[in-house]
Amino acid sequence: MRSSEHGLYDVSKSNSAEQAITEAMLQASSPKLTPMRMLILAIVAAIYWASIQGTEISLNDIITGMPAIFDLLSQMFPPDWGYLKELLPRVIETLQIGIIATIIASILSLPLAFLAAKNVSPHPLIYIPIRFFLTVCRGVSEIIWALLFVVAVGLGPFAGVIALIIYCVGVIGKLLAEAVEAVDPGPLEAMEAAGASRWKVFLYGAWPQVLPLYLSYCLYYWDHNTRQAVVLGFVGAGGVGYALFFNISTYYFEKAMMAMIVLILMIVIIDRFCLFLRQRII
Amino acid sequence: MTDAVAAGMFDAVMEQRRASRRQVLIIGSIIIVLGLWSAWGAEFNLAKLAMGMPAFFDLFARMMPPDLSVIPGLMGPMIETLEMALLGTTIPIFFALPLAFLCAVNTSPYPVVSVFARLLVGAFRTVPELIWAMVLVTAVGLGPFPGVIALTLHSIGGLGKFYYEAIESTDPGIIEAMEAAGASRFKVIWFGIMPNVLPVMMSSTLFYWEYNNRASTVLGLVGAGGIGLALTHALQDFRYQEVITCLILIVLILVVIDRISAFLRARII
Repeated sequence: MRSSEHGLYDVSKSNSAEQAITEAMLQASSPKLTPMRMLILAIVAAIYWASIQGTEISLNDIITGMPAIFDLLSQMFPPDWGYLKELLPRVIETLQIGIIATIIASILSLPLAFLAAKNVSPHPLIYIPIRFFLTVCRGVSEIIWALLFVVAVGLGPFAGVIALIIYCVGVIGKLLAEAVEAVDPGPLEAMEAAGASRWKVFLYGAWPQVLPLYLSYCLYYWDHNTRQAVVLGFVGAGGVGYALFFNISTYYFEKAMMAMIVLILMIVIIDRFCLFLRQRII
Repeated sequence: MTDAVAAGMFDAVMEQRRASRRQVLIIGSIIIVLGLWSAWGAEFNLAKLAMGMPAFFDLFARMMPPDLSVIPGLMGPMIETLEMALLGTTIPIFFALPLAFLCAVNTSPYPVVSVFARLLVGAFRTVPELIWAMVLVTAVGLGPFPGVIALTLHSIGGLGKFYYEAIESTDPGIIEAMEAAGASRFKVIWFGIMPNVLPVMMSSTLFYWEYNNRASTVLGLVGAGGIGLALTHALQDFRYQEVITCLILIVLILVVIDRISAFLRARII
């Protein structure tokens, strides 16, 4: 022990002390196994085991599937750069679907959200059905809505726009209703006490508190809608997704790769742009 | 004197209001122009909407009443959907967690590693799970298995981002204090960072579980199994009463999942 010879602290001692502390911390951080917890653990393990069986997961399949994946990848290269010219109108269409859907959904969701908020809704008979309506709207994903609307109004971007609007109204409506319910009642009461009309209480009391959240939801869902607009193409609702789907199902993998590259670029740019806008607003 | 000050303040406030009104006007008109351009491009107009409405109500009428006799047959695909979502959320945790520690600037061994790990996470997140599923179905064949991998790949990106943001928001004081006390890198992560970020991580994992449940209901559209496949078949064969049963089941199960997730989240935080 050189350090103790020099009159410094004892290294071995401090090491063992540190070890003891580590062990104590480990013990404190690992929960005790009570019978209840063991039961829950067993149930969870059983669920996972059933899931692994049910979804036919096997490491073997991954390994045997690997050559097929690499084969597919090799067929995708080099991407067909000439296809870019044909893709651009599709990309613009996807962007347009995302923009118009977000604008209309954000307008529609506004009154619905206020009617669905417990504290400003005029009557429970109004807010309960509207809540239910919003739940149904966001209950199934956009793609399923698009699938139904493609059947109803035919192929094309129109079906995609309606699908996005319905889902988006459901989500923004719900989030906004929650934001309205969380509004600080103090200013509202003060304004009412000062004799402001109901409309003024809303406009100058509640609205400024909700506005930043509303804008950030709209921005977030613009980003989301553009992403989804891509996928909606899979069910025939137009845009760059349709090009991708068509090319994969007809085995034009080089063109599909080009579509994927364009798509990823588009999503990244929108992501960045939204981040920039959000930072400016909030 | 005070009147002059008050008047000045009033002017300043009014000027500010005018400026903000101008800004709102400019942004508003940009949005309106964008909206009109998009409505034109996406073939969206009210006439078309009005024309489409009867068709939609007709479709809805043909869905009534729901065919409840198919429910036993749908239970299998429904469970498959839930299983895909569960595994598609659990498996990515094991990949996203180490990746997140490489991504986060305060735990990454080198800045270069952080940049590359972020690129990797971003790439996984950018591709929607449906596209992953379609590519994988083409490569390894139909069934729930490519669905699980598709959800896993997308969730690695999504969870990875949530995780590294949580890690980066850890109070640097804790890390510095532990480092000053001579704790090893592993101990700093295990005893300093993990207890701090665990609730946030669990909550974002729950969020992704909800998200994956929703996503796995549609993976069937590209042949990756689950209730989506049953729905697509019913739609293709014009069995609309079966379609509505599928839809009701999907809504019900997603509401239940939301509730479970909210319950678990309330217990964690």
